[in-house]
Amino acid sequence: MIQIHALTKVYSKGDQIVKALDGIDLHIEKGDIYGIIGLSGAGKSSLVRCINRIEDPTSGSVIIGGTDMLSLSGKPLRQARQKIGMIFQNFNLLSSKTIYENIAFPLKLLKMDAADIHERVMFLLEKVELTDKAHAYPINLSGGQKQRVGIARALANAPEILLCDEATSALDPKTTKQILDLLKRVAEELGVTLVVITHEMEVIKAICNKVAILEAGKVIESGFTLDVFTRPTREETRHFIGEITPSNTRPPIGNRLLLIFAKGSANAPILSHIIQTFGVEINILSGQIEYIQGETVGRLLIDVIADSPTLSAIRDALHQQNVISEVF
Amino acid sequence: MFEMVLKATIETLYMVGISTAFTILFGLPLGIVLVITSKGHILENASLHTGLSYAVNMTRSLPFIILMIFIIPFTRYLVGTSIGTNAAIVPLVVAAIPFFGRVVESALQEVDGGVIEAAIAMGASPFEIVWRVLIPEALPSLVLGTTITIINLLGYSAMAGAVGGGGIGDLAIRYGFHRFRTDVMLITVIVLIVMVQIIQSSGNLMAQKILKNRRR
Repeated sequence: MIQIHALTKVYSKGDQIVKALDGIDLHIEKGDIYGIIGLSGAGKSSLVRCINRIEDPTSGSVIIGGTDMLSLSGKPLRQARQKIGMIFQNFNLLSSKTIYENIAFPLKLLKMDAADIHERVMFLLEKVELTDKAHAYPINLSGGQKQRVGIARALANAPEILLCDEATSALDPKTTKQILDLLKRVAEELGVTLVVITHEMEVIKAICNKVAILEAGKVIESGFTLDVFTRPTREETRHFIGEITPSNTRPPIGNRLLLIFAKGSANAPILSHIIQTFGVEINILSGQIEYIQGETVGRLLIDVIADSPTLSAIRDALHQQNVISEVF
Repeated sequence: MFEMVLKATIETLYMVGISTAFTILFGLPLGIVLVITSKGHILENASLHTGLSYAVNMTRSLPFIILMIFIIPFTRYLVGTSIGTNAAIVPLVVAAIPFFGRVVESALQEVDGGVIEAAIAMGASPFEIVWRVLIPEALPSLVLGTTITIINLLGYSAMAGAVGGGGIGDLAIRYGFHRFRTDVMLITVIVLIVMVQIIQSSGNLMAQKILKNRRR
């Protein structure tokens, strides 16, 4: 669906050169809810803007459904953009137009006739549950309602791709959840591929099936969200997902293991089984449970006092129960 | 005297009315071009922007009374004479276009960049962005800016009277000043005050009405 290859974006401010994007490779498939997470200044906003060419990359390629976006300009580029919806942190609704007119705006650009526009707008208003606000102006809406209008407007042209640029960052936690639920629902019902830019891990955990972690213009880790969370391969990623790291705990007594409970194992009494079977003493240092895409993922940092054959037997037993163990 | 004042008032309204129309006709596009060619805007063009900006500043550097005399040959070329109400319209428009251009520029600059970005993302062309986003979003400021421009034109038109342009200013100078007719002077002042009040309050009213609609 979206193939990004060796994408770079360089800004020059006077004689200072800033590499906002530094060789990005991403492959986003149809139906994905693809999260791109990073701290501010990591290049997320530039990256998403290079997808619909609101910004021009310095080099690399962006191919959407077989079309090379960088080869387009003028009218073909505008037509390509009409097939990509976008929602924004600050909603960016037209204050001079009613909710109805805001949603109708992209359809008017297509010169669609009024009856068809009406039908489409009413359908979208119902989708985002704002039918009663059709003739209100944006100033009278709450943040969550404004974003729902933003979503309806972005979906008006029946796009295949929806770009979400920090779509929930200006919203409170409860509204964030509602908007995320809505995004997930429309993605499924309308078959839209979502690209979700955020700095909030909660957003990724809630809706994204895949994730790329961006740092200083580079993708430092990417893959299925569950894999990235349960098996981060890099120290930076561990920091990023807020995991306990060796640097912020006291020295181990015995052998220190990090256990990651996934695929249903978080719900079983595995640890007590290990203690009984192997007759070892276990000291629990910290633990946390997270819900990623409806799946429970547990994390436990433990010290085990055992000799090395017993330790490897314990790790084998854990492995069989779908618990990943890492020597920490 | 009543007839004299009435005639002068009608002349002033004519001058201001026609020059307002021409000012908007040329000044609105000027302001739009100044904005959209500025750095980071939809049709960034540094040389065009800088060139226009210099031209605007140059015209605005001249006090109206000097501009009026300076462009007499141009006025003659356009209307065939440099005296009279029609001749006064030419310098009025020439002076007001750059002023109104700046007024439009500052009004359109206030339109949130995010909204423009959203329109670009929806595939709007530069023309559609100007017509469907910039102007509607800035409409209240544009109305207020037009009001200020009309009042400016009214002031300039009184000066045009000094060189035989007709209108209220002409009356004030010929009777109130040269013939020491204090009563005529007083009436012209009152007429001018009333006109400015009416123009300003209708402008305010229109702008408020637009904004009020959007709060519905």
